[in-house]
Amino acid sequence: MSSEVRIAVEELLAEELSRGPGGAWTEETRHTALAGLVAQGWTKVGLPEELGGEGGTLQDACEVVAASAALALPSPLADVVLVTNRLMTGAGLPLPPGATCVVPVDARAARILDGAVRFSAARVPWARHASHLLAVVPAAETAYELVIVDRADAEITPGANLAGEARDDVEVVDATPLARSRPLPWPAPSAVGELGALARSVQIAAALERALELSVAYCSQRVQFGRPLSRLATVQHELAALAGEVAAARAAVSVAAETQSAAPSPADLRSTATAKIRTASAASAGSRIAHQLHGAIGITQEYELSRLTVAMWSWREEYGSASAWAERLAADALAAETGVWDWVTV
Amino acid sequence: MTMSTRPVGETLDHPSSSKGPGESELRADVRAFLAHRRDRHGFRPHCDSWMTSPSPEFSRALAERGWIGMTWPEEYGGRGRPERERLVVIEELLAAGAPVAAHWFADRQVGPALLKLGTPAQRRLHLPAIARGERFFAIGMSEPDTGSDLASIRTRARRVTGGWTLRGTKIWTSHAHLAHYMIALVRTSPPDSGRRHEGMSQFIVDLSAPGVTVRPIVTLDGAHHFNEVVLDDVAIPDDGLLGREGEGWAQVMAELAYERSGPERFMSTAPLLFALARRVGVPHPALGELLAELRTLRRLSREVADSLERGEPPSVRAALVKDLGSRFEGRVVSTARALAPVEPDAGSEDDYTRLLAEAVLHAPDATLRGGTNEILRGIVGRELVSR
Repeated sequence: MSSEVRIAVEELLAEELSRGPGGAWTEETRHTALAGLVAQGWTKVGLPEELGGEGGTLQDACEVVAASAALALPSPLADVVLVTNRLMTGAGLPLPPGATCVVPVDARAARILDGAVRFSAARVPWARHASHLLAVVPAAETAYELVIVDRADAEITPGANLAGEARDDVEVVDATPLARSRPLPWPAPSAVGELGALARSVQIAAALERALELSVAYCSQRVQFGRPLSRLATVQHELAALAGEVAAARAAVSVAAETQSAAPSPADLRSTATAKIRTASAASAGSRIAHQLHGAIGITQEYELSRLTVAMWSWREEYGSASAWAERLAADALAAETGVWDWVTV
Repeated sequence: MTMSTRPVGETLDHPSSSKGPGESELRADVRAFLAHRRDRHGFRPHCDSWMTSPSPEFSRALAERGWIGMTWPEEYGGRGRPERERLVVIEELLAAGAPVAAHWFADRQVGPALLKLGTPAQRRLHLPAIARGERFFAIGMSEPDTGSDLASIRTRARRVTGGWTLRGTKIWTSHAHLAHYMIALVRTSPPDSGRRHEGMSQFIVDLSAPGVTVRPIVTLDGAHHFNEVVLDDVAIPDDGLLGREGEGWAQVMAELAYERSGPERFMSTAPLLFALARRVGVPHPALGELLAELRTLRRLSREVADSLERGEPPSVRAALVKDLGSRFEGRVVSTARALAPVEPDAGSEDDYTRLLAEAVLHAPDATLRGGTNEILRGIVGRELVSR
């Protein structure tokens, strides 16, 4: 099923993309593409039907996100499908009426008092484009609840990442929640960052795979010294190294997507950390190679490669840098009483 | 299969990251065996133990547990187990740095080659003895003038009545001084400049036969596992031919997929990594990055094992994993030197200090053996641009 999901999303996006000039997204085609994804229900993949979603597995959700990332569509799709929908599934919270785009907020100092919720957060993905905002709020000593507020109740200061994707500062002061889950031991406030890290990993793996396709095609067509670049051994070696980064990124993401379910487990932390660490380093090494192979054309805005690599340079730091995740992963391994190798194999 | 307690089909279709049934129990069994060996026989972990630490006695003990040739059919002394289970066993052996070098090549590639290409008589002659841990094999590919360019080999097999006569020299032949037999790639017809991959064949050479001379080559760490094997008109009977005459190149390329794809291509410095973690003790990001890479490589390695299970030798994927894996092994060394610097000492009583010395001294070999990283990248790169 998953590959069918990917093909369907790719077809929808490719059609929108082709209507713009030079194969680049414009404000207009980006909006119509997103509207098309919403209309066809792709933003509700991974959320069960009884909660107002379209159903589907985590793998399906990953395929939707991968398809949009490979086409470098700037959109909140990854955050909605792989963070919001998973949080709501875990908490059993149904989608409120009229919620077309619920964006997750990695909130600091969130609280709810006398039915009024307040929180603030920096660099929230796509906040100003959302219909609603979702946050995790402490409900008691070790219990949390999900709350959804109207975006209109938030004060938003626009910002952007390197790829021009909205990353907005958000301030919500005593808003009335439109939906609240019952108090639960999970998701804890850290859950937004943990699910978000997997979302960015999925995006990077897909974008890097596309960068490899572009590199292979470019080197096969570009003639220098009287023959295609792809005939040069040094070029083949660089392509192979890029393919290695792609394979490693994909493998790390596959483990996470197969290990995880809506209910959290210690294995989730390990597989999320592994995915974010490995995709972040693949983004760095892979984009360096892809640009080196493409020469100057690759660093123009007009050519597709830069739309992928510039986004990856932001995604690799978002929802926790490789270094921050690596420290968490090392701490988890060192805390294992049975030793590091046993920790690796469980 | 009298050993199996699982319903038929249960192993056929599960996601590649999930554990097969019984894998955790098997892993625990191997660990218990290794703990027993450590306590009773006192082996110390070594980096690169699959290359440098032979122990015929250890190999026989392993065989008694059914862990050599374990994927082979029972009629040839194997246990008919899935590739995934073999992966569990060899991962545990490598993680422990156990002395597995004596039987490693026979278990890894000679057995699969005999099963694929051997005659029933050849299989009966060798496979049960290998699976008992009593017969060791060496691999004769490289020659003094043949490194990466394997097609340039000059060792010749000449047809004589009732068999063949081999003449030439093989080099870098690991543990030929301990092995009973060697699989040699030789020319059975002269090289043709247009078709240089034709005219090669593989032979099973009895290393105790007249005309075989094995000379040690000492590596830069003072150790002896490499050899030069001189074949001076060595008589080989008709049934010493492995596979088909003239098909040697294709046979060897398929065999190299086994040689290149295993976890020994990223776990050679694993004992150092675990010693490093114990020594550092605090969650340094560089340690986390190594653990993330190890977890990722294990996944890739399982994908390769699944390909082997399906009977698809993953030549390109194997080359890719070996390239990534051997670079990871090098990063373990550089990270160890950065996080826990000590003066490396191969004679040290301290495990970390000793393992660092072993890893440093073996580092250049990791990106040479089984095909240099440049050759591997060439295989992957050519595949990419030929699609």
